[in-house]
Amino acid sequence: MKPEALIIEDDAGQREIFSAAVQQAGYNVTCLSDGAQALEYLKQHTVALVVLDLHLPGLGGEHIARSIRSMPHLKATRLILASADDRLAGMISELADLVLLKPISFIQLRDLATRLRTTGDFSAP
Amino acid sequence: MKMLLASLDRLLTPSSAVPKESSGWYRARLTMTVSALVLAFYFIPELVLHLIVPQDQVDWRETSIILGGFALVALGFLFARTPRYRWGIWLTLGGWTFDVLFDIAPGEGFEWSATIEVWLIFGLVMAFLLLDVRGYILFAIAQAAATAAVVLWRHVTVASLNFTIEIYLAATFLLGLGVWLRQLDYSQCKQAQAALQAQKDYLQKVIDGVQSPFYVVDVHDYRIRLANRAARDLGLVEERVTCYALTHHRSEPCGGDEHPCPLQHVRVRREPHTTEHIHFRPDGSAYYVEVRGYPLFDAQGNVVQMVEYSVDITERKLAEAEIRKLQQAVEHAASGVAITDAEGVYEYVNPTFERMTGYSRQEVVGQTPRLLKSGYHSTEFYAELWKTIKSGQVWQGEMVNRRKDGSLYWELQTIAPVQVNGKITHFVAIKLDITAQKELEKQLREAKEAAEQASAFKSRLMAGVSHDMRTPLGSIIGYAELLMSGAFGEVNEQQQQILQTIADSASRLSDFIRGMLTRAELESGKLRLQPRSFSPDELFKSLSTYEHVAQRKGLAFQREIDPALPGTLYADPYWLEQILINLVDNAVKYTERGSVWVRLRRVDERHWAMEVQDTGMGIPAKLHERIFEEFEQAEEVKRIQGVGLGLSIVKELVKRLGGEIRLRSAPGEGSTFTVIFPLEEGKER
Repeated sequence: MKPEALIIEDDAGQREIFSAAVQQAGYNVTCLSDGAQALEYLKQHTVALVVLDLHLPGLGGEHIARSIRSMPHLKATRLILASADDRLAGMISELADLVLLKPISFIQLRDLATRLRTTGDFSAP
Repeated sequence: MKMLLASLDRLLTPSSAVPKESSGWYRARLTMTVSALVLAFYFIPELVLHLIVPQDQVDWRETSIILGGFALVALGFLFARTPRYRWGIWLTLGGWTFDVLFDIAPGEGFEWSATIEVWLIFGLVMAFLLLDVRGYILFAIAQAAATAAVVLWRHVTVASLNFTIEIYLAATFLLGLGVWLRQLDYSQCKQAQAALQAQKDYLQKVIDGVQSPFYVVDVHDYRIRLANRAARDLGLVEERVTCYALTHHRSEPCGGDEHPCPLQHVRVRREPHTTEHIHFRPDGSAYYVEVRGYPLFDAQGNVVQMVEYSVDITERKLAEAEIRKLQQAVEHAASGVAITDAEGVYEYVNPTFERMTGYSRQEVVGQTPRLLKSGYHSTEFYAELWKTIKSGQVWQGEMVNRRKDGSLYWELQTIAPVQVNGKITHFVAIKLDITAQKELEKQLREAKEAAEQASAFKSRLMAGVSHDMRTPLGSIIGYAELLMSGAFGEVNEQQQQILQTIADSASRLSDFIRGMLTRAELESGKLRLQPRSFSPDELFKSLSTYEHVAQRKGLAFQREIDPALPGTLYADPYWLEQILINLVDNAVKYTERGSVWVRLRRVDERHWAMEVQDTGMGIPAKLHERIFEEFEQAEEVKRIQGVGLGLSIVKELVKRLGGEIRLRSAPGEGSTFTVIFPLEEGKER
């Protein structure tokens, strides 16, 4: 059974690319564009991987990141921060397992996700 | 006899009250009187006798001697001037001596009497020498009387030797009596003299008690008649020295407006006078004195002498000079100076104050600083000021005041209380007009604010632009790669290459944006540093992109963290990351095969380093400096290295963060960039 992944990204194009990359890496992917919806979703689901855009309308990415870290059922969840603002990303990087600065390579994301699924870690074997 | 002496004294004493001891003139008159008496009692009777007795009985030799005696007495008159009156006496005595020598001529039968007469004359001389003038007078009278008797006897009757001797003995007795009376009177005189001397000593002591030079000057010849010790200490060694020689070491009286002579003033105006002079000490050193002169009048009301005393005022003069100097300084100070009394009422303002406020001194004196009140400051502001200075402290601050013409101006004011014995007597305010500076400051502040606003706007704009560009760039790269992955169907070799080019170009654009943002921040002058404690491995989080690229190129990508490195570092990780990204990006881009190492290591006790090593083409030593230079200056570098912009930013960033970058590289041996930072003391653990 494929592990679950959640993509939270308001830009449709980015959502599609991230989705494709993570799907190719062997995940069941759910895509959401709204922070509040995402938070609701995360409260009810256990996911292995979250790709989170920091710049979201409404509820900010930082709030979601902190929520993920505070939810006991998401303890094992790996969080990739995707941001166009490296300053902001840097400031909350301790919440993330990985910070990817936009523009994000499709191949890079796919390979990273694959490695996570197969080895349980992002680092190279 | 005593009456005779008293009347003689009266006769001899001058009408003026000049002390007789000090008067040579008195002695001269005394001598003349004696000589007259001698003439009256001795020579004249003898001459008359010579003239009335028959010619053949006259001894002409004797007569000529009598005439000689006249001449000698006349000479005595001539010489009877102080201090040579003694000569006159001696000459008179000489006359008698001649007379006596003829008296003892052989054949006359007067040998004995002559011999006695000789003794008598010796006695006279001794009396003169021992008993002074009045004893001599008595002798002279007695001797004259005796001689007259002898002469009469000799010519009228037949002389008897014994009788003559008796007369001489009687004369000697009279002389003895005279000597005794003289002695009696002399002791009284001595007593009077002693009393006078005591009086004189006392007066001298009194004037010596005055510590300043004090002397009496004759108004006619400027000579000092009487002086106290302080005056004598000035070098009054010679009696009757002039006042100008004593105090000024000059040969002529003082004069002119520069150095007016107080004596002239006193003589002409006949009133006391005070003036300031410069006097000279015996060693030539000058000192300031205040000279006071008082006229002394004679019986007719003429100014004959002047009492003068001079007080040393050198200290006061020097203090005055000092005060004048300070006054000059205050008068010409570039700052406004105002002095008020303890109640704040202006007593003095200097010309700069007048210029600053527009009020003249006359308008300000008597007023309080309320005159300048602008209404700009609160009541509390002034209350605080007064509280400060009334408590004896100095107040300094900036204040808006109002000029006479109504315009406002800024002044920097320092107000200091003047305290005498702990009590505030005055306040001194120093004012500097800082209106111009204030205006300039304001303009500068506005300019700076405007510049900062512009800069902030630029930064926001850049951030916004870059943010807005990154998402579409993400789509470009993402879709290109998605296409290449075959997700939308088979892609041929040529299409692959085109898609790769699209992705690479977008990546370069992304790099460019990143560099531009960093550069914008560097150029704004200050790097926004947000240092915090962080774990060293945080720096690796953003490197996955480059690790991925490296792996796709078939390069080994190694990350190493030195176990000796502290578990927590304190710095701004954002900028460290930017440095590392730039170096890693370069290393991955320009290494075709081999490895890229990224190390975080401890250098020594106080330093740590980020190190990026590659097995790339290497950089020639001559370019080691230039690769860090600005993009446009390093065309050659750019050709070889393909970058330039990145490394110049890295170097600047490292510098701003207080670090140092080193390069170890040679063609064919790869490159190692080491960035060394100090470990933040006490924060790394």
